[in-house]
Amino acid sequence: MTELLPLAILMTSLGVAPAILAMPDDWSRLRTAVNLAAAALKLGLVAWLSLSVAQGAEFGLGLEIAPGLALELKADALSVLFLALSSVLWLLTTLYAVGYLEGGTDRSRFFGFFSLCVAATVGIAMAGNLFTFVVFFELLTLATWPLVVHRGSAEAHRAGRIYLVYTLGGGLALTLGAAWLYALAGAVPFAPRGVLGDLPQTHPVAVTAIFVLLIAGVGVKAALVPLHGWLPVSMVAPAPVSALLHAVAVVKSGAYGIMRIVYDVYGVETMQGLGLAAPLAALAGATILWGSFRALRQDDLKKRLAYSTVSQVSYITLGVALISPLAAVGGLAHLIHQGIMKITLFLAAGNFAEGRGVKTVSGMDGMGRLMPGATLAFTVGALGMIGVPPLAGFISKWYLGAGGLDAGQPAVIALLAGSGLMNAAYFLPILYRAWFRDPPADAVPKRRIGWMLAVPPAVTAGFVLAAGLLANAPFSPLGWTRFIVSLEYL
Amino acid sequence: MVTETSLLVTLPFLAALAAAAAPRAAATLGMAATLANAGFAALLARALLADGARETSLGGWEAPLGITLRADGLAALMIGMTALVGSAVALQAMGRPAPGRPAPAGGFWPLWLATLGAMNALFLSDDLFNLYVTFEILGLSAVGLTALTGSRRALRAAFDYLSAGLAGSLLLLLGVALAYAEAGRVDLAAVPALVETMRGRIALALVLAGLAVKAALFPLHFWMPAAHANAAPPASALLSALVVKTALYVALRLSLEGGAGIAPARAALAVAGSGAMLWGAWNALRAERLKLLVAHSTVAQIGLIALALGVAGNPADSTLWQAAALLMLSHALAKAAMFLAAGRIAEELGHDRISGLNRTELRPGAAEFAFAIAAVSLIGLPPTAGFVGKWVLIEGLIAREAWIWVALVMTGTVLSAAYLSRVVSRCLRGGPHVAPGARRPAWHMGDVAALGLAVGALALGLASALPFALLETTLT
Amino acid sequence: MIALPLWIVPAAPLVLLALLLVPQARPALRALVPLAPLPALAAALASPAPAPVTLDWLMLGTELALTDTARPFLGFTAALWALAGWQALRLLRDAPGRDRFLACFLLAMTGNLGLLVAQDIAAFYSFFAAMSLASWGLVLQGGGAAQVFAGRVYIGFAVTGELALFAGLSLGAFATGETRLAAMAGPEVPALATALMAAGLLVKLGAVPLHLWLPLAHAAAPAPASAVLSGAMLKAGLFGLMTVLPLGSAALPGAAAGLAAMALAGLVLAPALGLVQAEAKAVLAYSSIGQMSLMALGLAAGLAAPAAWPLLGPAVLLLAVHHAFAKAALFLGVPAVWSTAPGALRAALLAALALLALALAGLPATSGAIAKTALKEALEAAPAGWQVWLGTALFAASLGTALLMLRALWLLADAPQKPDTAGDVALPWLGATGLVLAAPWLLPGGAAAAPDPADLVPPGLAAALALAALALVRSFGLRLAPPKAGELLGLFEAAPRPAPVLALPPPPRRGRTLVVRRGRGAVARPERGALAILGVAAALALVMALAPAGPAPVSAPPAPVTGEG
Repeated sequence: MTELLPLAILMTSLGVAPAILAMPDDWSRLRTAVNLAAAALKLGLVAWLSLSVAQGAEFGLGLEIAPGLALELKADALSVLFLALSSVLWLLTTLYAVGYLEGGTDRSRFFGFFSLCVAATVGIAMAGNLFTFVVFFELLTLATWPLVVHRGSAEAHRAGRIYLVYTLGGGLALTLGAAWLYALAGAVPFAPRGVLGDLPQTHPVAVTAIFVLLIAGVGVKAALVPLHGWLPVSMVAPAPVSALLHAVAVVKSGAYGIMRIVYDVYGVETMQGLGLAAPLAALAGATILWGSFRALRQDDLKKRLAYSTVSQVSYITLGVALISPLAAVGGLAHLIHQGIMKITLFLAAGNFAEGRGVKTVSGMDGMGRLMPGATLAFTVGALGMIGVPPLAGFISKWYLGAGGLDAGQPAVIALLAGSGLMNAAYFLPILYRAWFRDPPADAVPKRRIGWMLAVPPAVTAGFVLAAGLLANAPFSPLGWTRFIVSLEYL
Repeated sequence: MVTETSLLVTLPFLAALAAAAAPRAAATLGMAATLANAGFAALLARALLADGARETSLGGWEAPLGITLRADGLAALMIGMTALVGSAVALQAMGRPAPGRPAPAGGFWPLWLATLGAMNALFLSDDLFNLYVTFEILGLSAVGLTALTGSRRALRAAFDYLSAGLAGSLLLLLGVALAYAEAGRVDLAAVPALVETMRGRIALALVLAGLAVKAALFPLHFWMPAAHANAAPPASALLSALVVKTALYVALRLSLEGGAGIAPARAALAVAGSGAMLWGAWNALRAERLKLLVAHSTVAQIGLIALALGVAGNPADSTLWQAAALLMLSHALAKAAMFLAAGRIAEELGHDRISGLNRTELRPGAAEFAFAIAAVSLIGLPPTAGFVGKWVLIEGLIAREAWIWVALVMTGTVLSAAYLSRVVSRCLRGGPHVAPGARRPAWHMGDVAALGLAVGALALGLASALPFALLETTLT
Repeated sequence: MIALPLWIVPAAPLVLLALLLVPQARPALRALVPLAPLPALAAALASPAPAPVTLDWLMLGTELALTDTARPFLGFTAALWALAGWQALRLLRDAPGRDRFLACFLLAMTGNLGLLVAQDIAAFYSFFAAMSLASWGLVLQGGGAAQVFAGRVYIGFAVTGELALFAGLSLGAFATGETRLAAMAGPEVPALATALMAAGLLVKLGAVPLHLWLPLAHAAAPAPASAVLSGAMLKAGLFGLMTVLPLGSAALPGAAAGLAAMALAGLVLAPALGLVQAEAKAVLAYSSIGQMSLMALGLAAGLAAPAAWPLLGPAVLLLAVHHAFAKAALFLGVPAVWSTAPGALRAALLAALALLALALAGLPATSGAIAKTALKEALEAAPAGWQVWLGTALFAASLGTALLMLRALWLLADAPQKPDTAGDVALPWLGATGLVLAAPWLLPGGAAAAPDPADLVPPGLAAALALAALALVRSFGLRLAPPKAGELLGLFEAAPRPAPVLALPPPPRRGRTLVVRRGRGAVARPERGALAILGVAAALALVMALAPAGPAPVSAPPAPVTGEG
């Protein structure tokens, strides 16, 4: 029975998606109940799975769909990391979305695809081989598109089109790379320390080209410069979708893909042997700086956050690409940390827009007085992003810095400092306006923020604090990543 | 001896006669026959998987005198595909028309059953002459289906179809005759012998040219978009999903039998296929009407399949042709779903202009959802069978370092995503594009059929192991 | 007596802060703010010192302990925060944003107290950051143009300093493989790490040229905030430096020279720039720069001559304690003066302030004299080359301080009354003043120190100079035009941007990149179809006919139609 656990986790969201899609729009109670029940059930199952994996259990399920091609679900420590993130945040985001979209149109469609999106994410997390990963990765693209265009405006459709062009293009590159690798290697399961055997020696050029294709494919979702163009554009989507894109599913899947490719397909030694790590690290570094730089000048709050995501997600890539256990700990932990911080920011930003109609940085004046709870959550998230201790972001940066030194790249420290400076330069003015300026005289409440909107950002802000303060506790993100890294680098 | 094989050929024809004789009971009879056919197809597939491929002689006469039915995995797969798509289309035809729309013409059931019988016979045929005969029956009943609505445009389309079909049959007949003159026999096993001589090769070339007309393969596709776009939705679905596949099936058969000697023909197929892919996509990008877009997309997809057939290489040392077969299957399901959905969309809207799909008083319904899923399958995104087929194809091509073909397949994928997203993005309208009191279309049989087929195409990807296993069963 | 758990030092203000987040609890709890640092004071005075605490689960493994160096720091820091908190409650009784100020105040207090007991890097850095960032809120209190400018400069310097500290700590931690703060002073820490850590801490210390934020922030913040900024937080920088620099263990002549140069620049610049300021708090701030430079000079000497550190260390510490109380008392006195109208009461207040000023200037029988004597004696162990200018520098420091004090008192005497300032703001000031005046008896060995007549020279000279200047100014009818705040930064100004004449939305994008529109398709031409069929059939037949029978490579692109045959 327990061996079916990965499937059960997948089905908690994949199974409810069609049911929700088929429901009439006005069955909101039933839909909410089904949604939340599924999310809670999944959370429970993931917790069970985590415990089992921590005790050394292994899960694997396969379905052969063509000669030599199999869909395979497996759960290892790295999967659990991503699963835990997505299932916890799914519950919160669903709750938030229910409140956010109250009275809106096409809610069944929204929540159906929302579930599908998370199903795809779960699939990505538990993909046991490259083919499965590609399948769910593309599914994610498809499931997110309706969410991006949910508002239906011309702008939303434009964003959707750009999103599709980028992600389908990336998907094509990924598919090509993956098929090529299958043609060369026969099968590409994910296994610690790589599966390529002597291919790097026999086909160095092909293996390098495949790496470029694969990274380009997942790099679109991970918003690596110059493949990041879709991310700032898709901020037109509703706030829960932004949260999903930036924190729960999409960019995270890209970053997770980079992890899988580097660690479990190529392996650390191959990465170094072929000299692939340094360019990837350089690209990540450039992305970190460029994203922060672009964020400086954005007045649209969500756009600023989006560029900040571009920058922050690349910390993960950087941690992976530095090829050092310490950096890996930082990068992997940042997968979680960035998720909880960014979702806090987006949910709070959504509350500003819902409660007061504020969507720009210049409109944030006096928000601390108008909406203290949301602003406090936003503050925690923003300070965490800057890397202020003892919040989550600091932990990641600390390990990344140490990892950079470990890898013989002291420039990483300068990079972290430079990016930190820019992070401060684009987040602190927001905080300044929110807390230290007076609200405009004509400020009127637009809508009361219900508990469904108020609670999720508060909870995630609590996570941000806890992930930093309790970093050394055994089941913290940091503790878990140390466990994973001990497997990858032994 | 009565077996699934012989029943698959005889039952539809008998049912067609019965349906023609008793128009009142035609629908019931037709549906029953269609379902029975599906049941036999399933039984055949199961039997093949259990016991391997088989040959049955009608009336106990052996080749070359008698008619031999040869049931191998490929044939069973095609029969299964026909049964599946046919059931869905029949389901749609069973449904009551939307209020205010004319009832379907009574001729549908006999014509459909005849088409079904012809296709089954064609897939089971083992010699060129039988293929020609079944093509003739198929062509005539398909023309009937096209003309069924009786509108001027439909009649015009039917006439075009008829002329093209006849031209194709003529070439086919010429080829068969030449082959008979050369080899003294017309069964498919004679193909390896034919490629040895110049006259034999010319005969095969004529056969292939005839097939190209029937498959609407670029540059001989000119008749097809109009015919498919103007026929009634069930007819378009059948024509586009199944009928054109028959010609491709025969091409695949020839390629399988021909071995290495038929390589130039394969190359020609591949080249024509790439041309079709690009040209069809280009026209689909420019199409202003929904059904025209879908029809042009058929041109492009046929091109992709032809390309796959062409580059698959010698079946003796490559199993890439299986990818082509899977692509055929996937395209059949998805394209039928798409035509049925397009029909439903047009029915609700009262027109099928793409620019007019953003009707504010109508919410997107199940048909549009089905269209979107079918589009996913056609583009070849996971987890559909189209994706699996393309993956296997690309992997095989890469293994051979045939980069140009890889690039072409990729280009085709990009283009199909481009033209299909024109429609799909409009299926996701909402917000300001939907009036507050907009109605949602009610459910119809057509929706169920379209959705079922589309989901089938999606699910087939996960169950691709079955077709692949079936394709492994060949006559040795 | 119950042993005080050390974690309560930072926890007390933090818990109070958390409770204050509940709006309903605020009226009752506000009054507790001045009491929040008392556990820390108790810990500092407890005998024996509280036992170290190890909290493995917290952050990256947190360790708290009270070292001998930290103990006096903790004592005066806690006392100052308590007094400042008391005054803040009175001063800002009705000010808008009071609760925000108190929240920042408590957070900064947490940081300041916490960093003194933190033993591991992460905790130290956390507390340091909490203090720096929360002080931003103290500087911004009031929200005027001066506060905004000061706040911007402050946060810029603070964040940059933080990042330098982060980089330095990272490098140091990696090089030593340790997370204990004490290890950062070890020999295997690279020079770059030490330099970065020192840079981050010197920003906090207000060393020239990293001092630009300091006068702005002190002038802009409310007086109690200035008091803790100057009295306690600058000392946090000093404490950090004393912890991470390899004082007493290794000689770093180059670093020592650099630090000494910064200190000397501070000693010269502080009076030069401070004297021309037009606001008492700004003048006091410049005096802080001078005094901190003096302490930095002590550190520099310690770096140059490790052997002298056992003497220098206590001297610097003494100076720090003395300056902390004296300067804080002066700052706390500013609102006390404001609350009075010019008259007898104000004169009395000014007289008391003058006593403080004299103490700061090092008048004999004050804490200042004791501290200065200790430093002078300790500096005699400095490298020989230094003796040439050390005496002059110390004299200049005393003279500068004296002049600045005179200037500050002068400005205060002239300050208009601020009627909204409650009279009871003077109470905490009185407390602080009492502590300063009692210092000679409280400080170790203070009462025994013999008064040195030479200590009278700088204040006397300053008074003479001041009188001369006053006479000069009066006789020529001159008036001082105060410089712009911010020194170098004051010279820059954002260029005014032209307002957009008319804001038009951009034209709507109509590009559907993937759709090509065209008119009707061509008319069907049946004969073309027939020709096409025939052509293709013929071409195919030709190719097949001419093709060799043998196996041909299919995959050889491009089209074999033309290529083979």
